[in-house]
Amino acid sequence: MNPEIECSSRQSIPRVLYIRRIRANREGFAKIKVELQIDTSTRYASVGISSDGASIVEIGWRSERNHSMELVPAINRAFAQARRGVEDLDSVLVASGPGGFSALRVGMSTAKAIASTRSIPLVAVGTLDLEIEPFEGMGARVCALISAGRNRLYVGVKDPADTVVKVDLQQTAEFLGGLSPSTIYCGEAAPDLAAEMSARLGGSFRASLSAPPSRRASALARLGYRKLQAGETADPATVEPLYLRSSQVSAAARRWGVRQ
Amino acid sequence: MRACLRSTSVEYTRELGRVMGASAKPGDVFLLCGGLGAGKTMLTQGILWGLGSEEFARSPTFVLVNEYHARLTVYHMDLYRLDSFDDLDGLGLDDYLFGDGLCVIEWADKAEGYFPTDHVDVSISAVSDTERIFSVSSSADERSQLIQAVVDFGRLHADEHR
Repeated sequence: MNPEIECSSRQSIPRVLYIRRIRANREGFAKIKVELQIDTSTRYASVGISSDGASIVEIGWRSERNHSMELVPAINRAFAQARRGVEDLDSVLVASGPGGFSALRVGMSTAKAIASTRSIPLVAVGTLDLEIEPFEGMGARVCALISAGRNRLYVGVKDPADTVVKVDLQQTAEFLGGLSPSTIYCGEAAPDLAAEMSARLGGSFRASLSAPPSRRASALARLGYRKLQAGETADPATVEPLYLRSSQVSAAARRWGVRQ
Repeated sequence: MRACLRSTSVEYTRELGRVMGASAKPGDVFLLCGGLGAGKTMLTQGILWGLGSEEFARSPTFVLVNEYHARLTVYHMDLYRLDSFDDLDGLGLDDYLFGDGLCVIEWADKAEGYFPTDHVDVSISAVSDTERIFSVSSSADERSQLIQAVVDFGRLHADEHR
């Protein structure tokens, strides 16, 4: 095959880079992998392109329930900037929640569609894991907060020895009743709760209070790539976003089940 | 807290709705229970007008959710056609129920316990062709202002009729 000819039909990739990649493949070097990141868990959405888990391009925006209109154009912008196309992808990494019901569905279904049509692996990473990622290795318990609407929070907790994040849906009041001065608080909802946390912990509390967006596509690239390496992929046919239900709704579900 | 009112006309039902709409706050959830033709959609019409909308409420029985834009975004829902928990859960109502709009939900008794605990219950019983008893109640202190407004409305009109 003549790389020059093939190259002319693929103008999105610089010729030299493309030839180099083809040569690398031919000569038996490991191919550089390309991953797509999609996170539509909340109104702060992001997409990214990474290579072997290291971010190349990251695009973030604030969406007001318009993820379905904005996501694919954003992915195309990321591809254009990274000079890659969907045909270059080796895997899709998606944030799996918790978060907004419809918001999560948009990202998850798009990720599933790309993974299954391209026959490439799909990796689902918990959204609260992404919030905690920047604070890992600080030797403290990290607690990530995302709003679940009026007076409710999605809470993710990870101790230094833990391998997984414990995820819960709590009333804000219930969460504020269990604050600890040694825990690091982070996540999209942390700045909104700063005054309350400060008052309850007597001014000495540890939290990341920078304004959202607090989740980075680069964190999804890193954690997703790690799961991919470990073989922890999801089945595009069956994977679902993580929806947390309050105990009250679970009880309603049981009652409803009895009624049927 | 509870308010009980007797309506003898469509106009009165709409006015009651108007009072409820005027007192509604972001995130409020009104659950309407009452048989076919009880006046649930008519009450919703008043609620819309009370929020400053000039639109006419359409029954959401077949579309499940109608959305209206007024002082608050109103999500007018109808659970009549749902017959399993999975159907209900698959709608993603959480985005509405825990959002910043006003949810007005007809046939809410089909999904008892599914809604935020600080909701407002409105039960409508038909006494005769033209007469309805409205009971408006909530167990949440934050809704007492709205219930009080309904109580005041009832008193005002009781005086007028005398």
